[in-house]
Amino acid sequence: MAHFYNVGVAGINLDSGLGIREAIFMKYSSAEKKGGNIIIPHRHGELHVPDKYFAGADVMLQVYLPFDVETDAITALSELARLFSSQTEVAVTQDDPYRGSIRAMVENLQDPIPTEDRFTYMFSLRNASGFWEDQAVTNISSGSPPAVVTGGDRPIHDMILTFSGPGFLQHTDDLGQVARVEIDAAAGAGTYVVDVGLGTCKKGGANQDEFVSITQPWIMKWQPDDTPSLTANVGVAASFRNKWA
Amino acid sequence: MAIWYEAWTLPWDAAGFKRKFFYLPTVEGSGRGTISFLTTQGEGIVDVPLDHLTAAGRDLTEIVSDTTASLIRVFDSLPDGTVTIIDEWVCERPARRHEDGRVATISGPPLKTKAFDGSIVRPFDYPANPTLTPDHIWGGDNVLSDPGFETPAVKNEQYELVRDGATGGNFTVTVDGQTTPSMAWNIGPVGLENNIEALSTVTDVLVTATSDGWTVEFHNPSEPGSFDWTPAFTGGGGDEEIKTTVEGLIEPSGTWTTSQHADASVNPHIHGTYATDGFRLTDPDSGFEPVHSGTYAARINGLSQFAGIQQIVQVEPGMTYQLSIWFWSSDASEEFRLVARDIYDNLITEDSFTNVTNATPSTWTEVTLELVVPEGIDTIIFRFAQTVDHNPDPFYVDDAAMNEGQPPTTWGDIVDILMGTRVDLFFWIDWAGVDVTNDSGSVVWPGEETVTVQFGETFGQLWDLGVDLGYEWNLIPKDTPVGGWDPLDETHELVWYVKAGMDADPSTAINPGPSVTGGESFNRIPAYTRVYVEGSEGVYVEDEDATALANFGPMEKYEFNTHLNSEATSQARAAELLSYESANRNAVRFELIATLGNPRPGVHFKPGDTIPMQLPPGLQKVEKRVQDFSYVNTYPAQYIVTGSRVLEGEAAAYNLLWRIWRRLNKPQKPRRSGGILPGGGGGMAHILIVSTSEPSNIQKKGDYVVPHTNSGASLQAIFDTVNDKWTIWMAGDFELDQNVTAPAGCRIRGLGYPAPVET
Repeated sequence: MAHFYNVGVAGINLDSGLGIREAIFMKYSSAEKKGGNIIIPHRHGELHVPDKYFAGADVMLQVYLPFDVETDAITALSELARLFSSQTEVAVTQDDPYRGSIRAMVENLQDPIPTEDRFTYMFSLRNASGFWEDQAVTNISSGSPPAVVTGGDRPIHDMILTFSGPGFLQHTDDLGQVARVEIDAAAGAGTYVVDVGLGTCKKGGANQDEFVSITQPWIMKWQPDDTPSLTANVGVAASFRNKWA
Repeated sequence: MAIWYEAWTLPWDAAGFKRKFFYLPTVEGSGRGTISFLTTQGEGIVDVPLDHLTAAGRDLTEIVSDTTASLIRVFDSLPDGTVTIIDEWVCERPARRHEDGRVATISGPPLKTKAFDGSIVRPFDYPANPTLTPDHIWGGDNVLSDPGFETPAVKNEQYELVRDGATGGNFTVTVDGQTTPSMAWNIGPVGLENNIEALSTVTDVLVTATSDGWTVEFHNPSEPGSFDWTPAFTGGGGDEEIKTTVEGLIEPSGTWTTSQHADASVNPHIHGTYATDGFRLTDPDSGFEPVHSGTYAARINGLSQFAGIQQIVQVEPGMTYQLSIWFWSSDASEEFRLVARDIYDNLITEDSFTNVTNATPSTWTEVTLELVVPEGIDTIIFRFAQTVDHNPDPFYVDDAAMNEGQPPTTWGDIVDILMGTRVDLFFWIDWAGVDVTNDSGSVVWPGEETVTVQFGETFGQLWDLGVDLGYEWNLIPKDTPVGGWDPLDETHELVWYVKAGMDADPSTAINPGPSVTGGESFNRIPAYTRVYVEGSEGVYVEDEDATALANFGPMEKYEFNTHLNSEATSQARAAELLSYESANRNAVRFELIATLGNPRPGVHFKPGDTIPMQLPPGLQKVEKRVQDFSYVNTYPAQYIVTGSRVLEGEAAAYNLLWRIWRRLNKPQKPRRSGGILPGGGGGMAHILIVSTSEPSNIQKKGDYVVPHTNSGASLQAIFDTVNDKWTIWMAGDFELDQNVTAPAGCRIRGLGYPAPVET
């Protein structure tokens, strides 16, 4: 029996909400890394650029329309298309047998694409972030440093770091690159929330940029399925969603 | 391998220098900037994604708006987390494209541009308004005329031959051992003149007849060694005699006189008394009269107190002058005073004099005095005189000076002084490492500069002057201290170095390797091989690159620079022009990409550092100073590094700019300030002498008023102050009760007007 992916679009379960009993997201589509290697004159081959970043990804959603009554198929297809009609990205969810319950923000780029089978349609979606991520947040309790263990198979770059006070959290990756987030003591006691993805640091909702310094342009970035090498001099809690291809 | 951006408040923000965005989101590949060596050029630009700001609860107006500006700091870092600021520019304008409001392009000039091109050198006498002395002058013009006494004024020796009524007989005349033929007692003046001029010891004399003899005026020589006659007359009183009516002298030029009142009508007019030859130049043939420099010095043999020498000088109200003169005297009892007085003989200020004793007799000694001319005074008397009231030995003076402005000083002192005048603007800059003695590397400055800095110039233009003279500068951000900056903290450091002093050898190189993606190099022919540099004095210097001249022939460049006050400083500029040309003849440009483990500009080397650069195909390795680098915020970051100021690809644009500059740039010859230089502007100096026979309204227009009876002495006193470049206008009636002589070459013209018609 085929795996039930329990696909949802914009909070609507395709099965229970639209009667589309079978739907599947293609696991790998066009995800690629940005940039390339470097061509050096008078050298064979290329110079490898390590630590490349992923581009946005195309996501293909294949749906099998209900056909008990012919009108059901058109209705389900149209309602599904309407769910994707948004001014911004739409959240999609699925229960993947390997990745678990994951989600992604996608944008529908065009009308549904018919296939040879009159009841099977494809939706060409664009995932700007390039990644799926856990529906559930992984919370690492405060530690100095926090005991972070990552999952997934794509880097985590948008963690939320909660500092219990001024101090630093430092990460050294496998290339020896040191990424350090430090909150100056002059900021004063309090809880500081660093949103690495947005590049903000707030205390009580107020920006604390004056007191924050970083050492790498990515601020902080953890590899998947890894125990990052962290040091800290203050208690830091971390919350993140594992990333997936 | 990537660069990122932060936004800060401006360093001069009254609330303090603070970080506004520890991470400024930017569009990859949109961020560009250029960091140049020794200039304030360049601009930074980057696109900011507005949706990201909105998602973060931020707004573009925090960065730049009608009321806000930011300092954008561009960072790069090493893998170990060492962070380097590679660029700082002031975000002064955002631009949002009409068709797409998702991205804002922010841009602005480098911090050093905003700091120094937006700051003005105030007038020297700030806050005086209107300003009397707008310019800051070091080692300015010597406003004295003939300061070294090298323009002698000749006084022809004159004799009178008295026949005492002779009615017959003959006589001969002997000049320096040569004797004329016997001449009749009644020979005419022309005949006598011809016979004297026929002597080998005489070239030119002027003989005129008197009622009882002749006068003989020597022109060449102006002063014979000996002159005598042998009369053998008959029929007269027998008391023939030869009189010396005018002693021949070589005197200081007419701008120098004995100490005296400026107003010729004051009685007594002359200060002190003098021996017969008490005011003359030294005799180069004497063998024992001292000279400080050149051929002549002035010799004053005063018999009483206040005998001395002076010059009346036009000055600028408010200007500072450095007065000096060298004196020599064998008399240990001598005492002197260098003094500045007004035309009424009052002290200019209560301390406008300095007294000196002859502590080291028979040694040239310099006396100095600084004078600030008060408002309302435009003429002073520069005077050096003996103050002892006995009759000492003669004294000598030479190399007088009255230089505008402050004494020459080092470039470090100039920077320190001028920065100090704008502490209101530059409180955030630390320049303590730049002082009068040492540069920022604790290297002693090579010498003193004689320059003028004008009110209204920007500090950026002032820094260009320093670079023109071969010095080097930079504005460097200081490390942010723990706790951040407090208001009024010095957040940046201004450094200045002697030539090549900022050069570093950072143990890195650009070779064909993992980070070099392209490049070009070339050797070009010189833009010039010979230079002419003209300074403010009108003095110009020539210099040339002998090797380049031999290889390429003469290619010339002229530069007129109003900042340069002396030949020495102009020479320094000429040398720097040639050095600059030579250093940039071999050009190298590299395209780099940031790679782990390989050097990156801004992090491993900076503009001003010398690093080896090596490119195929010839792989000639050259040591070049990095002139500039530009960056792009791609991943990995991309750079272009140049080792030359002028590159082939820019030649077209460069030549266009050169043509425009050449058309618009006309050397501005400033009005000469300070003392009168007769004819110095190409014209003539004029004075008007009015006699007391004229109405008072005419007398008020005169430079001098002279009595219409017994006018001789007053006129002579005036004529003694002029030289051959003057024109003397005279109006009214004058009585010549004595012979009056004027310098050969000067013009005397009468201002006539119709006499009233008598009916």
